[in-house]
Amino acid sequence: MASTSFQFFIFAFAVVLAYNLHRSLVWRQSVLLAANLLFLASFSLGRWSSFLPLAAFVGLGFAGLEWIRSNPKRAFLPLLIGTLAIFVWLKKYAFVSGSLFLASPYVTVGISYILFRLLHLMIDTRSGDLPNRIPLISYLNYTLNFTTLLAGPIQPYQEFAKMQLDAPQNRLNVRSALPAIERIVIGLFKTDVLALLASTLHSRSIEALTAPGPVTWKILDGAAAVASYPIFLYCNFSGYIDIMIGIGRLLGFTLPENFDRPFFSDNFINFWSRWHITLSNWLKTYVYYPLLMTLMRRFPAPALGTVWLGVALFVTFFLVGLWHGQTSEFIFFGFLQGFGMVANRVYQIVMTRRMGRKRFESLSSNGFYVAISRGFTFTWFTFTLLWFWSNWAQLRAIRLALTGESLGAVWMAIFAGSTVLLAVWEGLRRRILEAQCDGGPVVHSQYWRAAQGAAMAVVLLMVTLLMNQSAPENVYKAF
Amino acid sequence: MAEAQEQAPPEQRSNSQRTNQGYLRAVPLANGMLIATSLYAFAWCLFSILHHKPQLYLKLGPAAVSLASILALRLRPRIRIMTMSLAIGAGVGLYAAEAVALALIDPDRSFREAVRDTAGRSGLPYDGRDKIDVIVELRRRGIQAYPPFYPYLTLGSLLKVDGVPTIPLGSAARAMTVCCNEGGQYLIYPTDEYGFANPPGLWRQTPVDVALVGASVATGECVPSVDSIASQLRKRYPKTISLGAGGNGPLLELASIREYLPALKPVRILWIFSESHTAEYLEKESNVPLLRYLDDSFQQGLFERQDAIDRTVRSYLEDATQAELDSKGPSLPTAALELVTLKRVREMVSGLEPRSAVGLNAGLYERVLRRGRQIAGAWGGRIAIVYVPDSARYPGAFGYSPERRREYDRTRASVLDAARKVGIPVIDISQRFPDLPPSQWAQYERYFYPYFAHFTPEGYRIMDRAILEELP
Repeated sequence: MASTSFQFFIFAFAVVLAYNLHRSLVWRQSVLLAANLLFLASFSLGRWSSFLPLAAFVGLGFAGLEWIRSNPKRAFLPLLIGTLAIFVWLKKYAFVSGSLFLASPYVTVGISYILFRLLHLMIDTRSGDLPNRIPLISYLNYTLNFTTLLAGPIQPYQEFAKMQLDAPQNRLNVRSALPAIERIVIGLFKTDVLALLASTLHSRSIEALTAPGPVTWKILDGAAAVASYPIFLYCNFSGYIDIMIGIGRLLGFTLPENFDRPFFSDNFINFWSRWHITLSNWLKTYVYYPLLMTLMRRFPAPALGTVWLGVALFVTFFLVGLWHGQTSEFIFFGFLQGFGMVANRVYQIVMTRRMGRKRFESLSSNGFYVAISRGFTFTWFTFTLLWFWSNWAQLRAIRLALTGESLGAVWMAIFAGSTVLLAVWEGLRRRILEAQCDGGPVVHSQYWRAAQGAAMAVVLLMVTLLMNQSAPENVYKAF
Repeated sequence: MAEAQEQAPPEQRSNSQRTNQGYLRAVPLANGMLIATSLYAFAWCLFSILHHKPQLYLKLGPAAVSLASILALRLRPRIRIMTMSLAIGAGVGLYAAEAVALALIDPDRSFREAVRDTAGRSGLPYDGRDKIDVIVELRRRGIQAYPPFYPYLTLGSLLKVDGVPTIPLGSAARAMTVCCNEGGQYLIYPTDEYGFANPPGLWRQTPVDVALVGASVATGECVPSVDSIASQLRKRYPKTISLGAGGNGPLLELASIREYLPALKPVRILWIFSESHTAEYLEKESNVPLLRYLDDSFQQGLFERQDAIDRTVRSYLEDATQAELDSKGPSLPTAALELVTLKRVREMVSGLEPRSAVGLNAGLYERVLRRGRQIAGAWGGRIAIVYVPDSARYPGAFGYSPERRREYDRTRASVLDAARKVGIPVIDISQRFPDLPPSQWAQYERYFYPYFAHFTPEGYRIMDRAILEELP
């Protein structure tokens, strides 16, 4: 069931209705569990046995938690390695021999996000951050929650458990439903309209790029092909998150935000704290800090501190890249993420040393510098994404279509274009927010939001019903 | 917020109330918007009534909006402003949808992609060039190439041949016509001495064996020439000549019979009726001077004036080719007007309406047949109608709907009835394609393309066989 499909919204509407029929915890947990299992069942490959590997993965996770609780020291490491190994095996990573994989097809939908939740539960159980035993129904609702199963956001169990306990107090009314519906409409607008436009531009530009034509057009096609992808990815992913946050609100959940205007980040480190926020936070909590602490404890020489910082940063964001796919392109994608983070950190350190903290901070807040930095951050991310959306053969085709000089011109065009556009956009946004009414920005008033919602709804209806255009598939569903 | 306001001290409460009154400034604007909306909707309603728009919703919808806008003036200010906000949002949304449609919808592109996929499935190379590029390429090689000539396009503003308004029926003579690409490769055919899709020299071999009159199917659109009806007939009847031209309806076809066949004196005349459009074309043709061909005395003398007609048609086609070469999409004012008038949105909305079928004007069709038979009778020529079905009549084939099937069944019955009354036999090709069960629907793609197009080569072959078997 695609998250933007009509069937999904019928399903979600039915779940919201059933969930809000009664406010008891048992009722709401039961409805949620039934909804989660039904949602999962919609991905059936025709045989119930196709769910067995996923069910075993989730089941073993629950048993593992019990084992860690009873014997944290002995159980943790084997379970951690075992869980990761099963994940790699089920996801059929390219470096694992094909003969080891299961022959018959099986469902792996949401398994990456289940893994994050499982590892978080295992680590927090061992560290004592989760002192109480997790009831099976809560465990299943947490790991298989239909609002977060496919592509997050990754919510800590503690927050989820609180949400569950607060459930009986939540009452759905017009006041709480309208902002939730508004969020869903915004999400749908992103996935069904903006992502569709960006994806159309991307595919048409690629097509034009590889067809014969003059160099100037090739540069423009190349720039459009490459720069449209991050916009597509953002709209596709953040739109999905908006929809899920909206549905979550109708169920009384407060799901964490996953994006914070990432293209307005003025450096790559900042970018990763605003893009797929919950994944970054997860990795910071469970990879970056533990790794950094371990390295610093093992090799405590103060001179090595900066080196370990770089190593931890590189490893963490290399893993981010690697997690996205099973092929060698994603190894390179991960390398570029790690390299970008380390280079950014090194630059900050060098500049601070050379200019002094105050002068560097002053430079960093200079409008012109910020605009250039935003453009550079966007361009770098766009460049790294080449290994995300294309394979080596496609990369070769692009390389053949663009000579050395025009390749440079493409990147200059993206850099210049993004610098100017993002600066203009930010300036306009500031101006718009300055327009006040009734003690708040006009754009936050109910009238403005009603107009915005109506406009989006009309475009959505036109695109989906009259133009018969279907939204591009959720990219992160595949991870 | 309301609760907090109630609990606040009176002084703060009044301040807060004062601040929340800011929206009142928008009330005059809301009133103005509602009045303007009401007037606009009322004008639209009047326009629909005065222009006799058949759709009831085009009258009732604006009337309801107009009334609702006036009634909304009696609502509380907050609700009035909210109504205005929603209306503005919906208006902005419509224009945004127009812009999205402009970016996304490209019928040419989706057609080209479908043709490319079909060619890929058939293992054929796909020629992705535009028609104009093919023409330019041929001309570069010294070949006189033109787009096809469609006589019906000249009916609105008749061409002048030596100063005389004329309806030519043939294209540029002894030239290459770059016609269409529906299966992966362009149909490019040479025209004969009178501008029709025949090998040269046939016009001197009178009496001819078979004459073919009709629209695009009679010219073999858009299959390789070897699969066209005329080519297949020539295997048994070498002196087969086609007078077909895309877009011809029964009256233009009658004109072909009147203008050219007395000179060719064919023994057999195959008069093609295309289920998908002949009824509609007859309706359109009946509104222009073509009805004069029903008179015994009327004739344009096209056969005799061929040289002058050829010059005019060449000039017309040259202008069309040049216009195509110069064209870079609609001009800025046209594009702006299209955007302002929401052209694409209107097209999409009207696309939701069930297409009103044009029923065959059986009386007129019978008169046309009778006149054709009378003309052919002068030299003893025998006419047979070839009833060519549309894919949309077969469940599972492209475009099928039960309504369409019923419509086509009615048309077929009318054609058979008219032919029976006039005494003309019918070669009914619709019976040659079977109604397949759902499990075999994929087989239809052997005969019909899965998009709006003519028959596939295999579909033409079935038609060719049927004609050869039943030719009187």
